[in-house]
This record gives sequence, structure tokens and C-alpha cells, in this order.
Amino acid sequence: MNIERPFNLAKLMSLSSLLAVSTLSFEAHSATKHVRLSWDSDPAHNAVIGFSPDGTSNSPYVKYGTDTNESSWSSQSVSQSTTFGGSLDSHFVRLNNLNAHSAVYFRVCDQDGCGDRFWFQTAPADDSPFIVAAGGDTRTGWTNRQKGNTLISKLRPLFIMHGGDFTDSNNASQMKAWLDDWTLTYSSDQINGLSYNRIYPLIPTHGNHEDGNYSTICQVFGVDSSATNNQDGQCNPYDTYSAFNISPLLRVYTLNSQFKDSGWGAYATAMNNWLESDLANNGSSAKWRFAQYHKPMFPHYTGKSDNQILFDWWAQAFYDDAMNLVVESDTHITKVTKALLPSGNQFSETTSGGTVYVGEGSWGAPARSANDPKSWTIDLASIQQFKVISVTKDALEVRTAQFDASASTLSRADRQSDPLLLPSNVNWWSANQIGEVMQLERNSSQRTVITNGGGGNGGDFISLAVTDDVFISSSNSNTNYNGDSDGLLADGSSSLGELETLIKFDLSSIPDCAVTAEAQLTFNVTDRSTGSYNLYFGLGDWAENSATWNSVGGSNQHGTLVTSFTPSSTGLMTLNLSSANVLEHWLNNGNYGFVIASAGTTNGVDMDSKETGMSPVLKVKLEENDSCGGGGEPEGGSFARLNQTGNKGDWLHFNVDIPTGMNTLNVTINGGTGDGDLYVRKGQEPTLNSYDCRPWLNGNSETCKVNNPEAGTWFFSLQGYGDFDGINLNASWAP
Amino acid sequence: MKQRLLIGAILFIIIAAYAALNPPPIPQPIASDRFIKLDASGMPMDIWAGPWACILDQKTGLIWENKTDNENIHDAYWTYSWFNQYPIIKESESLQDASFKGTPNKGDCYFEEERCDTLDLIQRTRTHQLCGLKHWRLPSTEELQSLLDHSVRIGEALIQPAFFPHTKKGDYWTSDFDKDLTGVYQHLKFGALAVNFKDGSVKPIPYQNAAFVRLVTEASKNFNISQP
Repeated sequence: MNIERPFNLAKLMSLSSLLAVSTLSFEAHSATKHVRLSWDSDPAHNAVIGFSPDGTSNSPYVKYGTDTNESSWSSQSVSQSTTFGGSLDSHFVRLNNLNAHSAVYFRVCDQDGCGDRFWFQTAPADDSPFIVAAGGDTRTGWTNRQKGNTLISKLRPLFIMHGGDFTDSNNASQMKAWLDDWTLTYSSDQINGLSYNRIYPLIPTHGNHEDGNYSTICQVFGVDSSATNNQDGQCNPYDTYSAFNISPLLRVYTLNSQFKDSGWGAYATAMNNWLESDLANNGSSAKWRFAQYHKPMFPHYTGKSDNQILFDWWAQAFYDDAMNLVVESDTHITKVTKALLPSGNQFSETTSGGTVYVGEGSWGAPARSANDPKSWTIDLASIQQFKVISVTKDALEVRTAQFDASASTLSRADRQSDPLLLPSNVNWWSANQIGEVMQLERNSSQRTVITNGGGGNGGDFISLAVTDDVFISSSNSNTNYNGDSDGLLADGSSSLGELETLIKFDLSSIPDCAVTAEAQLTFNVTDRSTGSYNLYFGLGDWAENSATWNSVGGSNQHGTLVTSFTPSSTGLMTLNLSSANVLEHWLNNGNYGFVIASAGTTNGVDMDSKETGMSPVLKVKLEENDSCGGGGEPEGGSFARLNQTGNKGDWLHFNVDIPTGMNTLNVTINGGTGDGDLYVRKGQEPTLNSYDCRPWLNGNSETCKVNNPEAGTWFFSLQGYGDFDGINLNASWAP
Repeated sequence: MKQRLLIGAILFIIIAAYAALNPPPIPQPIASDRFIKLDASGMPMDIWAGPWACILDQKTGLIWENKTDNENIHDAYWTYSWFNQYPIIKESESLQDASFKGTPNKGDCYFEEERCDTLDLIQRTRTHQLCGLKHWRLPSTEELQSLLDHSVRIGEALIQPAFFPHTKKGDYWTSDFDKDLTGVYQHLKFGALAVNFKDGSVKPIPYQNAAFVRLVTEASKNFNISQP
């Protein structure tokens, strides 16, 4: 017979004893969660700690100090409390008068005790270098968002710039989920025997998905900007733009692109007046200037409209006051541009100092088709990413991190020993002609010059892109494996017989008389081998979409042995080929590339092809005083852009700096189909009505000759009188 | 703020008054002579019924995947890099000879452990036998272009919205590959064609691009086109 009970007493008792045990086994814990940190002014000395109640938290406050000895810590009370979206309550504690370039240790406390231990680093007050992460669009795609957040915890940046679109609907439940995921950015540290979370300060931006509430970044992150109003303890749309120096190295501008929408005209005017004045008066107080805002001026995806109004507002001011780097979001792709200057209602590239624009936000939100490159785009792709920027006194390095789990983790000691250290095995996106690292310097006008890639000249490394890469199989001797998902393979013996890899590079930017000073071949090993491999020059011509074992004659393709190597670990492998005179060899014997073949081993190696991942890259440095020039006299030069294509009405602009002392400048176009017209103009992009030379002939064979060309920037442009395809543009100048 | 509220209220009243005086026309069964909705098992549905999983185009005899907004594998928001098995394995060839074209795992859907490509969607849709059919594939350029509809309202995706909801104003992959790339993408050499439902253009884009996909298959010859 069952005895009926009103409730299961035994179960209740065991539950309460469990609760008692858990209370005993942990120390008292404050009823707070979602700890976040933001910067909105002088981050060498200030920071804003935000958190939310987890249950009932009475009179919460923050205890903090300069070391882990909590008995010496001070208390700071809440200065502002907000409610976002009706139910996300947050409290903000402002820490002021902190020591620059120092660790700050803190805990959030309330009636129940104090919560988890956190620490962060204040910004330096000197020229110490640091790492910044910058991305945006975390609104959907929580798996990617979490992977990106985890990468932050491995990377240990000094701070993070977020370009907006935190959540999709900007409501409390989605923002709570975002704050849950943000805890993945914490790094776990053991300090003096205690568990600490390192927390990274955020500089947030207002995106269009925050448009329902222009106080979002104030209500969620405690940002109280002093750009237009002094810090007033109130949340309002004036908190969506700001500028402050991180350190003497960097001033960060955060702007609100959404003021372009109707109804916000008065705010837009206030922001833009403030921006012009701040750039003019305070811009030069730091060595570098960065800007972040949500909507790109010219999105690289046709599904997004151009935001000409943002270009009209900001592009000229950015150029005039030497904005060095702009991070845009919204489109869910990656892009990097050349150094740009505004020209009419568009940008044009410049090699004499401008602004570099990168973006465009895909820290979770599904990647879109990167289908709208501009004439001034270096490269673009549909990937999940944020930018990782190394800031030093004289140079910036900009990398694009993809969110693979393969990245190693930096420890607290790693970061302490080197503020610029980056984790190994990050899957960095490799931009065409630039590679994984874009190197930027300032010129005398403080504007940005790209110092690697296609813009490089004598003395610098030039990265040569792969034009063809494929592997061949002795068993399937008539099969072409171009674009195969296995990438590039080499093996002495496999189920496909002997495998060899063929690689060829674009030499179009190399003058015929070039002398190789240094050369490095880099490729990404995806499956390592303990065996030895040989790198040969190719002996005969081949193309990746037709090459087979039989078409190149198998091992008859092996020319001179260049070097041998053992690809004993996965990841990037770099071979030094400086003594092999690779450019001279190809220029004299034909550009037949390299062969990678087993030196006897049957332990195979797999490498990425340009279709499967990080493309192989050949970096070369040319001899400065090679036979191309004539010694102390002014030297001539040449410029070529081959196989150019455009539609009727299109403009393709190129510019070149012509040195003083030149007698002749010849610019020709030829080849291809359709009708492209050549325009040449000194100093500015030509237009249909303004040019120094325009042959205006039918077809594609046109020449402009300029006698005694003035020194300075010359524009060579192709205009589509009709559609055109495959036009070669060549220019040369001589004393 | 007050002023904006007031303007909003006045606008609302004007619009409401206009709507009352000009009732919308009774919806006509748009293009019902061309498209038929099919449920997940492939049964034809009434023109106003839903949800539907596929659309039969009686003009071309093709059956199209309907895109969704529910985060299943057919969600219209997911993007895919172009990656396909090629050539189709012949009986005389071993499996190792079947090579793949394109770039795997460079788009974003959330039903795969890795990132996503066209083959992921094709294989899953075949496995699930969407609308009872197994031969799902990428459409040719011509097939995809047959869905372009320039009569839609300005600003909308160029496709009949009553039958193809959630269509994005962006690139949709075709099966046409090995197309020359130009400009910034010239160094990648080859890509596949995509039809852009914003402007109707057809352009080669790199295999690695994350574009949208709408799969297609042929209606079987004995497909019963009787209306429910």
C-alpha cells in the first residue's frame, strides 16, 4: 500500500543537502554575471566595468587593485545603471586614475560576496607597441561568433574594436546570448595561485541592427562619449561617436554611419562638425589614426548599395588629416584596399600616401558573395574574419584572422615577454600580391603607404602570385588534377603512383633585366612527411588546366635541382632560394616554374593549392644596382598591366610616379577584343573631357607619346568606348 | 521626438484613409498557370496553401527547391562556396579518378561541422529526398535565368515572390564552371557563373565566393500535374 505524501520529502532533503555542500565547497559568490569591459576615454587611466545581476544583487560594487593582494584593494561604486530592451539590467563602474601600462585586478561584489577574479591591462602612455583586434557583425551565426571569440582569448589583444551589428533584433534575449558568448573571449590565467580571467576592453560601434535603439552601446557597454557632450551619465545618441588616444601611438575614431538615415540630420551635422574639428585639432596628437564605423562607403557586394553620403562626409577629411586605416563592417566579407585618395565621387589609388580601407565585418554573420571589387581593391573574399593589427611607432601590420580552431594559445607570460607576439597556426587569410601581412608606414605627410605587395619597388620584397599550380600522377597519367580538393601532392609511391607538384608564378611585374637579390618560396603543408623532397626548375611549358604526367613527360620535367627539403611539420614552410637566381633562370630559359618531387621517399606530402587555401607565394627582392639602370643618372622605368577587361562605360585607372629628368613617356595599349580607349593625364584621373592625351581610335591599338614629361603622378586610364577584353597596357619612360 | 511622433501619426492617418478609399485588388492567382507548389513529399498543393517545399515550373518541366526562413538546410540565408564532383565517375574509372572541382567549405550554413559548399547542400537534399526526388543538382545558367522576372516591384529580388519567397538580392550559383575570371580575381583564373537576382546579370565569380543556392531537378516524366 502506498503512503501518499504531499511532496517527496526525501528528495527535497537530499536536494537541500546538495545545495549546502555546493555552498561550502565554493566561496561566497556575488549574484552578478556577464562581466564586460569598455573604453571610452583615456584608456591609460580609465576603464568602464559592466555587469548584470544574476538573481537579486543588492548594491553591487567593484573591488580592484594593482596586485593580487585583495586586502589592499579599493572599492568603487556603480556610477550608472541601465535597462536595455526592457529586461537586460546592467551596472557600470568607472575606474579612473589608473596607472598606465599596468595590470588592474578586480572582482564584482554584492551582498553575497565577490565574484570571479578578473584582470586587464591599461593602455601604455609611451610608444610601447600593441595588438588590436577589429571586426564586426556578430549578429547571427553563433557557432562562428563563438569561434571568433575563442580566438580573441588565444590572441590576447590590448583591446577590441567592434564595428556594430551585435545582435540581429537588438532585443534583451539576443543581447544576453551575445554576452554569454562574449565570456569566451576571457583568457584563463593562474596568478599567484589564484584563477583569474583576463578580460579585453571593447570600443563598440553603432550598426544598423542597433537602429531601433540609438542608446544601445551606452546601455549595454556603458559608453558615455565626451565628443559632443561631456560625459553626462546619460545614454543618448551622442554616445555613438567618439575619439580618444589609446596611447601616443594611436587615436581611434568611432563614427555612426546610421546618422545618414532620414530623421538624424541634426545629429549627423553635429557629428561631422565635431569630426572635422577633432581631426584638425587633435588628429596629430597620435602617430597613427584609425576609424571604425558600420556601413562601408563602397560595399564590395552588389547586394548592398553604395553609401555615397558617407564618402561625401568623410573621405576628403580622412585624406586631408591623414586617417591611416579605416575598418568598415556590414557586408560579411573581407577586403583590403590600396592606399586611396578621393577623386571626384570615387576613390583612386595612390602610391604617395593615402588611407587604407579594410573590412567588411563577418564575425559570425554568414559570409556573402564578394562580387563587387573596385579598381582600387587589392583583394576580397567570402570568409569569417576579424583584423589583427600590430601597432608600432613606425609601422602597422594588418592581418586577417580566420576562426580555425588550429590556432595555438598565447599564455600570460608569452604576452608579457612580447606585446606583438601572435599565436602560431592562425589561419591567416592571404591576400593576392600582399600575402598574409599588409605592411603600412607613414610618409612625411603622415599618410599611409603600403610597403609590401605590388606597390613595392627596388629594395623591398615583391610577392609574386601563383598563376598555375597542379599535381600530376604517374598512374592516372592522362588525368589533370587542377583544383583538386587535395590541393598539391607529392609522393614517391601512392595509390595514384608517383605524384609531383608543378608551380608557376606571375613574372609580369619583373623587368627583363632583373637580378635576384633574395628569394623565398612559402607554401602551406597540410599533411607532413618525414621524407626528403627535391625542388627543380621546370624544363618545359605547361598550364594548370591541362598538365598531366604524360603532357610534361613525367620526370623529364625535372630541370636543375634548386634545393632539397623535408616538410616535417604542418603549417607554413619557407625555402630560402636566394642563391638560385630564380628570376634570371626563368627570364632566360622560359617561365616553366618549379617541380616538387620525392627525393626517394614514399611518405607523401600534401600542400594547399591556390584553390584550396593559402596559395604558395614566391617573395623576391631585386638587386638595387642591377644592369637595368645607368648609375647616378636619372633612371627610366616601365609599367605594365596586362589582360585588362571592362564593360562599356567603365574606367580603369592606373597611376605611376614619373621621376624628374625624363625625356620621353610612351604609353601604349594593344591586344584583346572590343574597343577600349587610352587616356593619359598628369596629376589627376582623366575624364571624357579632361586629359593630356587621348588617341580616340577604333579598336585597341593606341599610343600616347609625351615629351619631357613633368615629374609627378601620371594617370594611365582605359575607358570602355565599348566592352573590351584582354587589353595590354604598357608604359615606359626614359631620360 | 514629440514632433516626429506627431508626423508619424499624421502619416498613418493619411495612409489609413487612402487605404480605406482604395481597397487593394482581390488577389489574383498570379502565374498559377506556370508554377505549382509541392509539399515535402512532392504532392501538389493549392495555390494559397503552405508551407511548400518545392515549386514545379510547368513551362520548363523543372522542379525547384523552395528556400525557407527557419534555419533548416534550405534556409535562404545560408551561403555556399562552389564545389562539385567532376567528372561524373564513369564505370571504367576507379573512385580515385573522380576529381572534384571548386573550393570546399567556404560558405556559411549551420548544418555542417565545417563551413559549407554546394556539394553539402546537394548531398543532403538528395539524402532527404526533398519532395520525394533524388536527382537534385545545381541549375544551368539558362535554367536559373528562366526564373528571372523583371515585372516585380522595384527593389525586390527579380523572381515571382508568391512562389519563391526569401530570395536574396544576390548571386545564385549555376553549374557552369571553368569560366575565366577577370580584374582583381584574374589570378584565381577560373570560377563558376552566378545569376544575380538583384539585377539579373550573369557573372563568373571565384569558386571560393560564398553565394546563395537554389537547387533544381527534373520532374519525372510520369509526374502527376493534376491540381489538388
